[in-house]
Amino acid sequence: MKVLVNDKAHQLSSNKLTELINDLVKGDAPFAIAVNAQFIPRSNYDTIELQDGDSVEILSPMQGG
Amino acid sequence: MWTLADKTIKSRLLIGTALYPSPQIMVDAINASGAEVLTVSLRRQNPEQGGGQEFWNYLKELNLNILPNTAGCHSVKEAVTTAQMARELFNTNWLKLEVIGDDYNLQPDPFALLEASKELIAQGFEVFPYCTDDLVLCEKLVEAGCRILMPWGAPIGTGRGLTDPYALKVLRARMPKDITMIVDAGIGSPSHAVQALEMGYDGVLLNTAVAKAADPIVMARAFKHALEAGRLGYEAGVMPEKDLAAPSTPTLGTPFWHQNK
Repeated sequence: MKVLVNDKAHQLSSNKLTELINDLVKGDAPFAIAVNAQFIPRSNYDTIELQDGDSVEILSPMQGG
Repeated sequence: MWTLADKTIKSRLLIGTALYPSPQIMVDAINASGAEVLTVSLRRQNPEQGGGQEFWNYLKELNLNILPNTAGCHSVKEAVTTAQMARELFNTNWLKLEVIGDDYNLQPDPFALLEASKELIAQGFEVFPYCTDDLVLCEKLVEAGCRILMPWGAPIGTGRGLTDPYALKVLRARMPKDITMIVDAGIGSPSHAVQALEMGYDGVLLNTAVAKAADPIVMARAFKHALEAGRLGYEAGVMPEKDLAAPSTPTLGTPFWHQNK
């Protein structure tokens, strides 16, 4: 299954959002996720099953004004 | 001390975290400024390389109040989704709400700003709306439940100061006293901050003026003093302007050689 993560193609062996997170997210900086422009609260990660072609945004802290 | 939303803080300066020559200069400048509120953002970064980790470590070291923004959002939907992500990521319901309507001068879209404010207040956010100095817009934002307003002094990053002091003065006078008012954007020099505070604004939010100064750390100190001076000037009550000169030295007892003129 192929999804877009931050606009880059990513191949997944399972449709679980939690697996994508385990594969991709390193370090202990906080992050937040949206799937198809819909915010996914952390408490729902376990229940989210991705579909082929889904667009996943993983956002991290960044400097801002 | 003063109250900003649910916090009691000392400094009236809210400062951004972007554009500094280096992360260490950012930390040193923020410390020198005395600011207790930092604006931050959230962006796509490479999660596999621990994106955001270094900045996060600096935020933890600074240990100040975090005000996430929705910079770059152009629609209600984008702003609301970004706000929801920011709340979870930074663990705060504070939000500097930016909904840009024009890319040339980064002017807020007043209609989308109002709609997004209503939606986010309903979701429990403390909305700090980045707005223009339009009186009617600000009244509508207050009606929508905003306790804080952040009108621009000038477009973001221009450093032009308070380009319409009349509008800002009227706005402060017309808004209820319990509404916290912060001039956000356009501040370029410490004197601009003094001017805003003397008008009765509760604080200023700035970034570029410090980050792009020749010496950001010294400029941060200058702003710290400017905010204190401006607030004291407001509390002391500035004398009314007059058109005619009036001597400050007593005229009684003027020496005879003056009297003979």
